[in-house]
Amino acid sequence: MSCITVKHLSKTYRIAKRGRGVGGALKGLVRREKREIHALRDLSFSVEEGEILGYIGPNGAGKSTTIKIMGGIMRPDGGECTVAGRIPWKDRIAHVRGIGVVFGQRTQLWWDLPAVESFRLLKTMYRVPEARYRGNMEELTSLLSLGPLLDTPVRQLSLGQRMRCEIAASLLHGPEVLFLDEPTIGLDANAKIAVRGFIREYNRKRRLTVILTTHDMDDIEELSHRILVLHEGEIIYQGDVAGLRRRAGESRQLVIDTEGEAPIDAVPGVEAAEEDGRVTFRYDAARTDVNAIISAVTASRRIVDLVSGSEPIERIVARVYRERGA
Amino acid sequence: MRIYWALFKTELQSHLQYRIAAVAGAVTNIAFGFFRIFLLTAFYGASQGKQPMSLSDLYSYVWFGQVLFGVLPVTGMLSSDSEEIRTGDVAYRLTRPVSLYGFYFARVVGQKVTALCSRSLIQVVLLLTLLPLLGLSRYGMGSPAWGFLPLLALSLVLTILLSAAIHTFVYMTGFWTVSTRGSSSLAYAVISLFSGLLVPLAFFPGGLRTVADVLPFRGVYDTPARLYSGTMSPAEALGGLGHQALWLAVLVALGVFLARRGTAKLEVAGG
Amino acid sequence: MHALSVYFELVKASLRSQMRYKLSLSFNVFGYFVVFWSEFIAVWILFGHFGTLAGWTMEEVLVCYGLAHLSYSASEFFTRGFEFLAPLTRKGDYDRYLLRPVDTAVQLAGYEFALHRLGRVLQAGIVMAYGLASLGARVTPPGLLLLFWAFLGGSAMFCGTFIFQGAVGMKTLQNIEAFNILTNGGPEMAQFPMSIYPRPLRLAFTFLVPLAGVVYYPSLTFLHKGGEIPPFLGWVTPLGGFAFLAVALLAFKQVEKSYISTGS
Repeated sequence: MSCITVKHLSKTYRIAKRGRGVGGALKGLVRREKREIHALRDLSFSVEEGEILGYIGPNGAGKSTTIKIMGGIMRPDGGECTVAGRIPWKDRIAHVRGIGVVFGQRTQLWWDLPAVESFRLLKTMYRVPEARYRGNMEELTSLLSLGPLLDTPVRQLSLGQRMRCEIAASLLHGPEVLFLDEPTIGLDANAKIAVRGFIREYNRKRRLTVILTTHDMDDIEELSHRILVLHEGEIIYQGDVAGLRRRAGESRQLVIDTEGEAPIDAVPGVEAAEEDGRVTFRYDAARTDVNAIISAVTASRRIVDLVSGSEPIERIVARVYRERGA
Repeated sequence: MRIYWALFKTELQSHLQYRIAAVAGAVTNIAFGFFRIFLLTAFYGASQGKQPMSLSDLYSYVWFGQVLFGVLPVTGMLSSDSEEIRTGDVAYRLTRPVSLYGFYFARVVGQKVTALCSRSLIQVVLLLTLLPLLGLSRYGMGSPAWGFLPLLALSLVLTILLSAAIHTFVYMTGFWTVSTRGSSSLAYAVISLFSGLLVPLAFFPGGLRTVADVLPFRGVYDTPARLYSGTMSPAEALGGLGHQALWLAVLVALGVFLARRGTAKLEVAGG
Repeated sequence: MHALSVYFELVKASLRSQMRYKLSLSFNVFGYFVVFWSEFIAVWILFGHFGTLAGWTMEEVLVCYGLAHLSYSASEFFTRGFEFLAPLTRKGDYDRYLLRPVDTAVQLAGYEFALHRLGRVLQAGIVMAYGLASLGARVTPPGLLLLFWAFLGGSAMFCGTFIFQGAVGMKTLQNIEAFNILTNGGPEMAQFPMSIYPRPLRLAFTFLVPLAGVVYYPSLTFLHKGGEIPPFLGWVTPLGGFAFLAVALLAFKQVEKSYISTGS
């Protein structure tokens, strides 16, 4: 059953161009030249209940615009959108009661107060009954290991600790949909693992629909059931991660640490990049035999170490953007 | 010395960017000036007997204060500069080959001169053009007392320096204060009253007048304002200038002293 | 009511965070208290020299003074968030308010309960009490009721000016200093009987921004200073304050709506 449906969504921004210098500033007071940015063009997709959707795209592709529209804080110029049966921008208050939003770069907590007091404030705002609040908080506190953090003022928390509190804050009212915008940005490895683990667990237990926007491809690979790649307001890929790999071909990556400085003969159909003796080869396994690469290297240098694997998803995505003429 | 000049110049440049803010500030000052004038005119209206100042001299006095508002020690006191002294963030400045007091003093002088060149200038222009246009010339600023012009010029230089000295002195107390907002409010209260900004000093009753004459604050407004309107005798004028110069020296000395003590305190605490 | 309980929770939270710095807070309150005394001393000096102002004695003027400053101070406790609307919107932080299931005006009202402003309330209260005490027999229960009613209207009006300032700030993304003439300057202008201002200004303060209606006219009626207006009007004009507040809120909602339509 579709929890979120988006049909033919479009949004154009009109930005006033700022004149340069004093003359431009004065002119700007009288008349503004406008520039149009088509953030979204005819966007359509749907998200199933309990699905984790990874939403990726370069900056300016229209990701945050879509999130804002689904969140009900922006009106589209055209098209329809329903989230959990509601139209987001109609009756804002009823809509936001059923969603949770985490912005990686901004906080929803009160800076000078202990985390638990922020939670209680939100409890009042969301009108969460005491029993349900306690139940949710117990679960969230244990899953996110919030115990020692609750009485600490938010300003004293580390980024990872704060992010765990942010996530709890966005879920304590039991929403049906959770929007995560760059939730792991700036976090250390342990914190990232903790956050991802929680999202996976909570999504499984509660059938929580999650929209995840991120530049961190590990987030995508570890969490998403499906991904949506957005570019200049349009979807250029929709499907699961495996499908994206397949579409990008059987791309593989070979990293060889070499000794020596003699040039290595190029192998047709293989990209090579070198840095300090470490050469990274990217090739399509369907078309190139890995032996050809190894022979080319050993002909001029000594191999110290090598690692082979799939091409990282970042590169695949970047290539997909490039194909689109990014 | 060159460093201070450079600091002063950069302050000037960065503030001149905010021209629109200067116009808005000028308009605000003009509005407040008018309200003070209406109030004082109404007081005069019902009174019998001779007043220490003629009405037109009074208008002159009020406008002088509004025009010079940006230069007074009260503006811009609650800033990041005062906060960083209180919190001790100022420690990083101590690593530079510039005396702490000199650094802030030069900055403040820059701010005052900028205000003079933007906010004050715009106000003068507005007053000279708008008032005749609206038929309100009788409320106007009036021309300066030409005979006192050289003394006025000297006094203005002293005013800017004295104002900066007061301002920087308050900054230096920041090493020991708990709240910059508290001390700047206190400073504002005392300065605005005893400079003549809230009420021309001419109306102060005996004892209070003596206090106001002694304190440095009249040197920042009352003295130059009266030189402008020519309501001082030559003897009083010279006395006023001497008063400005004396307090300038005293406050700079005190400020430098506080800066040294404050810096020492920071170093002990470990910055 | 949900909105009210949210407002009180926000206020309590703000108080708790401010109370963590008790010493600094006390200094702030003290500083604020002192600032307004110096302005009062100025008024006292002027009356000491001149005796009366446009036919009003100092005690009578203190009624205007108290009313103006008390209404303004009261409004400061509900509208701090609106003063920050420009930077909030500019930095993109306003979206968070839209994502909460509470009316944004209520959230902004509870934004930061600036406790130090109590210093001003205290000062204005003392002056008002002194003025009323000096007026002795002229103070009657219906008179006090009128003053309280005018105070409510005045607070509503000043809330309206802050909300207007916020709405304009949200639209232009800048804080326009000229608005200070109305906000900071409002009580300064209203603290004296408006008969000292020229006619065009009095008209503006009666019909455009109901400053006269929430301080001057009620004071006229309270002090039985007849002439300018029939006494019963002093009871009616404070309504202008509420009307002004309503218009301001509408303007704010309108600006917010256009923010949602066009995006940041």
